[in-house]
Amino acid sequence: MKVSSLTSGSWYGFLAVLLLLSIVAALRIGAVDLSFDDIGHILLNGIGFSNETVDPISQGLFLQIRLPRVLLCATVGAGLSVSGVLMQALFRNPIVEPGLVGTSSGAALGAALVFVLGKNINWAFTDALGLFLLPCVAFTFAFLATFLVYRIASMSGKVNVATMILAGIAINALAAGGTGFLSYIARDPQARSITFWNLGTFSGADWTQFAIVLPVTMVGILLALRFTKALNILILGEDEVRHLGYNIDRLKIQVLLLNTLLVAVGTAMVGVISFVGLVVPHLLRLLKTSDNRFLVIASALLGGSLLTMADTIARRLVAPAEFPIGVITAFVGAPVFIWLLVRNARSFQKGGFYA
Amino acid sequence: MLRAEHLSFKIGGNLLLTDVSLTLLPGEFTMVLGPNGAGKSTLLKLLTGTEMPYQGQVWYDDQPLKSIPLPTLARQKAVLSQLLSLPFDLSVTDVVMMGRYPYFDLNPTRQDKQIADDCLEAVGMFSFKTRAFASLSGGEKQKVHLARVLAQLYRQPSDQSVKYLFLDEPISALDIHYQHQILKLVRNLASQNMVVFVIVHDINLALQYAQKVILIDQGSIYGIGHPDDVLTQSAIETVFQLTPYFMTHPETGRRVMIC
Repeated sequence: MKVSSLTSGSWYGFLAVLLLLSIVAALRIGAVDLSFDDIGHILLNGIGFSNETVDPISQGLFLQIRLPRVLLCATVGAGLSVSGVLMQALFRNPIVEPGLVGTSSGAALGAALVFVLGKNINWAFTDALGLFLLPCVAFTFAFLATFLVYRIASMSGKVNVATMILAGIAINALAAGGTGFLSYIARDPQARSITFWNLGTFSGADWTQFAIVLPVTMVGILLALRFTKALNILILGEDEVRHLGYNIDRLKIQVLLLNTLLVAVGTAMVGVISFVGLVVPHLLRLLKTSDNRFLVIASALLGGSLLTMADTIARRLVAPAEFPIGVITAFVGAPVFIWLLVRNARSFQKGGFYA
Repeated sequence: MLRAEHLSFKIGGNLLLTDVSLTLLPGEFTMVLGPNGAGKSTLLKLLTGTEMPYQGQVWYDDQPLKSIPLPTLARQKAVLSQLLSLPFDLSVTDVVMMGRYPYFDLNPTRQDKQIADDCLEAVGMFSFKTRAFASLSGGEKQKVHLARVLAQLYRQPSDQSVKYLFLDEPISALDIHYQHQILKLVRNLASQNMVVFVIVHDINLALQYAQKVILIDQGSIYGIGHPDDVLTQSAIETVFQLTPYFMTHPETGRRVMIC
């Protein structure tokens, strides 16, 4: 049986199992490997079903460091991948992803601003927003950056890919410059690390971060599902979206906002992680279909698993030190990106891959 | 009934359409002809609300077009634009199913699937159902898009409302067998309380199928009415700058044009 003939339902099942397995594996493997017995006991202790004694260091490591990290990782992976689906559909182009069009670097700049200057700016709204100040500022900057790239790329009436990539480079450079400057003047050791912002890392993950990222991502994915039909029609063209009952201008803005939300909240916590949003949807397009209804759900599941696996590798490879996760995703993602470019260039010659 | 009053449209100071007024009745198969750049597609865009007129207004029955909410409109009106290419590949069924999007929430019902199958069958593309859209020929793609538009206006037996169908050169890539088959299909649809507006280039097909012809030249209507009254020797000479000869079909007795 061909893989593409499997139903969407069985794909979701398969990917959900994969996600679960990668989470379990990620919980076990690390600088300190835990046994399944330990993990089981810690979890049962936590909800009060067992009194088995566990090594308190292991317990602390598991509950305070590893569990939130793995869960955050799965959530961010899901958010980035769904965002990749949305952006590819919106730009009507398979080689778009949040890292390329400025969303991630914009979010990183916003987050760096709060991290570095946070204690020195004390406006009325900074208190009101409280815990959500960071994601809000990251969101604003991410939106501005993406919107700029989108406007520049679509100046001629429809999105021009070459212009988009170039505008993306310019905006990325600008944002990275800003982030670099902030890291330079920063006192906080974490914010000082440029690696943190440019390559991303989950080493600072805690429950607070997870508590912010999870609801935003869940809501974001549910909202994304609402746009999938209109985004499918957008494959045919902008006029067809209108003919089938949607307001195209409103759709564009809504998707751009949603997209930015998904990327910004993750990036604010863990820095820029590129190529996940590119590779995951594309794998699924090859395996099954470009129907956005399938892509949103499946990308959330597969993106969660892949990023969790990447983070496990990042933690295990040079333990007790760790790689920035962006190194892993770039080593896998950049070649895929190049392959896509070459493939697209070929089909462009054959005539009209892009509408 | 579709009514347009004094439509004008301009882009960057160029008047593409000047003071066009017309009335289209359900049950009447209307074909639109005219030279390249005469304003046929522009007129279609104004009548479907894709573009807003610079002056004038369009009415669907007694409602101004711009006051009808888009989701409501999508169940009354369908548009087939000139050939569309897709940046992502979908299956033939996926494309046709988009025609049913205005009717279901996230997943198609069994009825929607049945309708999509029926519409593919109607254009002779049922056996291509699971094929990748990108692998089809130009003519096959055109037929699949047509099936999508048919699925969008598919009428339940109890539904007596007026529907509006706009086709921009729907048969340009088809062989003569399918040109005639599709036009018969559309003529049959028109008779079921549908306003049908079709842009074509073939004057003989218009003479054979149309009940009403709109001849457009340089952004305004040159003639509108029964094909035999509008597509006269002098009209074709003026509009297309060609000298036509008319003959009589040996069997059916209708007029045939040769150049």
